[in-house]
Amino acid sequence: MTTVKLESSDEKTYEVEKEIACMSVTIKNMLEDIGETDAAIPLPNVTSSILEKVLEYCKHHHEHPSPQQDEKKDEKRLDDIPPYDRDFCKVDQPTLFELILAANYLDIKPLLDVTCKTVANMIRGKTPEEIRKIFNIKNDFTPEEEEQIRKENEWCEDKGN
Amino acid sequence: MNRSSSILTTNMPTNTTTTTMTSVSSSNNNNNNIQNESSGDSLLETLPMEIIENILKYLNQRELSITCRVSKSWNRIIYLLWHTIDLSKSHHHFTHLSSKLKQSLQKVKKNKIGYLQAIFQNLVNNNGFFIPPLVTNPDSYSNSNKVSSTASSANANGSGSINPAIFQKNIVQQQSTAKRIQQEIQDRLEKRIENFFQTLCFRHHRIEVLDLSGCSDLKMDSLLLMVQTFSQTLQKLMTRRCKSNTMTDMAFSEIFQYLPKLKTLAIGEMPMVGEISIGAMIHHCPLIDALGLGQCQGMNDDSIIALSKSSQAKSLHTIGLNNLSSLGDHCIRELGTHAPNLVIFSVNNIRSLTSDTLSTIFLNCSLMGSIDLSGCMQTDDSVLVSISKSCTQLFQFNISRIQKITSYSINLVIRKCKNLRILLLSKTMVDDDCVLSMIDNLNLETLYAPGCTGITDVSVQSFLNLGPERLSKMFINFSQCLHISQSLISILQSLTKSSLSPTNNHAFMEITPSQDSDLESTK
Repeated sequence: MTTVKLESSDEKTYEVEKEIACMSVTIKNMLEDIGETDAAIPLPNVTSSILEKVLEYCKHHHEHPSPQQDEKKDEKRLDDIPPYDRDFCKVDQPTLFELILAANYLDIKPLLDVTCKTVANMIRGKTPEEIRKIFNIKNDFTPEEEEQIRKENEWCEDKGN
Repeated sequence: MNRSSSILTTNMPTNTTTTTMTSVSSSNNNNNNIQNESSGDSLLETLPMEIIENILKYLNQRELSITCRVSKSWNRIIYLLWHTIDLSKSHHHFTHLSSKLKQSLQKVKKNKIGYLQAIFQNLVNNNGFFIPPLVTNPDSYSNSNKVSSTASSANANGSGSINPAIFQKNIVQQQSTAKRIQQEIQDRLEKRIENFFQTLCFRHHRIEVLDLSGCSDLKMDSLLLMVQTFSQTLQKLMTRRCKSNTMTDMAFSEIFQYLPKLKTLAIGEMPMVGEISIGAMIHHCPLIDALGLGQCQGMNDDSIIALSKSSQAKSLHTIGLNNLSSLGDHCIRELGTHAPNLVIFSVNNIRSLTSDTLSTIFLNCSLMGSIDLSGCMQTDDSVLVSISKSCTQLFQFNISRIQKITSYSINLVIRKCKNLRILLLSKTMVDDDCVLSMIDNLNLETLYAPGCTGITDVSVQSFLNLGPERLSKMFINFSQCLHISQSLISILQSLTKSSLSPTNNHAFMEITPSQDSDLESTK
């Protein structure tokens, strides 16, 4: 079993199975570029606490590979998050957003998808006021402006014919 | 055309905005303390644009319209990345004149002024539809800019801006003015519709899905403006039932040069679109893989032959040719042999199709997931034998009204295609053995089998034995099956899904909607 070393932005080093590390396309490409090495791969965009979470996710999915999803099926489904992933994303917002950034930087598509879906689920079915509360956003619209935007998007409502 | 190009130019700066925002957010990437970013900004806005885009992909247009009311910066981002415009279920007063209104306008022609009151009432009933106040001198409306600006502002005021008193005054005017008034109303309503589509182009920039199905008063100019505006992103275009007389084959073919990324095109029930458009599509849209042409009476054999010879044929996964009864057997055979990756194949009511051609196609296309042959009367057992040999992934199958097929081959398909979930078998030779076989072999969702004389109480009893929990997830229709007792049917109905029409739950069914006339008549 080959392992590789990864170094977080706060200079902590982790020894990981190569196959698990290679779930990150970014790391996989780096390893292909530099070849066999004992040196730790620096990941300047990922802190140790986030890297640990990411590795935990990769380890779980390496051990429990999910059945191949049918690409042709409706990709916009939000209710198909597996239980492990759903629990994995039950973190505070800063952590969730850092996980998204890490998944994007490390190019781990399943993790990016599931974290983005989690954010979309936080928005779906809410009123503007509820969304503001969830993401701690200040409303800088006057009631008239907000009403104007609602009016101009009235066509989005399905009213039938 | 001058007008459209000016709109395009005003849209140009958005590209710059995108770049700036991405660079701003990526500079935040290294900042671990994102939360303490400048006050008022939420975490979402600190993400790179491509990630926000990824998140918004999961939201539909209704959710996007709510999200863009959250704050000014969210509003900016959401409009920038808005991906879907679906007007197929929208209320008609935005997108086209209702048939009721059109009728009223025609009546004015015949019966003069007396019906203007009815039109007025119709407009009021249309809930907020804008009619500009009528004036006696129509020349004052010749300035179109003035009208559109009034239209958008008055839109917000709804029906409150209508002044019935002015209307009344017109009703007592001379008959000769009736025609003019009628023309004026129509013109202004059309202006209003044109204005609506222009506004969509102003606000949105990166539309990927554009569904204009049923916008029957959509003019070619508006459509052209939209495809030009969304040229860089549009992947899916649906203009079913856009029947405006401006939608000629030649005019429609113009849109494809602006659609290099188009993958899905649904143009069913557009009467004039045909060979020229298909030729232009083949030339300009290399990524096309799903095509819905149902009831496009302008389609001829040459269009289909051109399609089968195109380089896109081999990647086609969806083709809908419903009710194109004038198409010959030969061209569909060509298409089927050149499109081995077809998953959805809909050819109902093409009576010229021979069983030999269908067998050849199904033996060639082993990925078939949905096959609709209803009303293809020449289909016989040999076709179903081919399907059972080749198309083992089949999940939806429609052979309604085909009398030549015996229960033997239906049973064969049921036993070989274990993924079948939706079966539409009205007026076929299906019998109890087939039904029992379905219950044993399949995870059935829908069985639509009215008018099947081979089915008896035995079948119904077997369904009832499944228990209420399984049945509650199924749709079963055995109406007009003469050998089933009415009392059993009502018990079954009370336990299964009550809706009359079977559900099409596959993502691509919207491109080739089932045109089964039996279904229509039961509604």
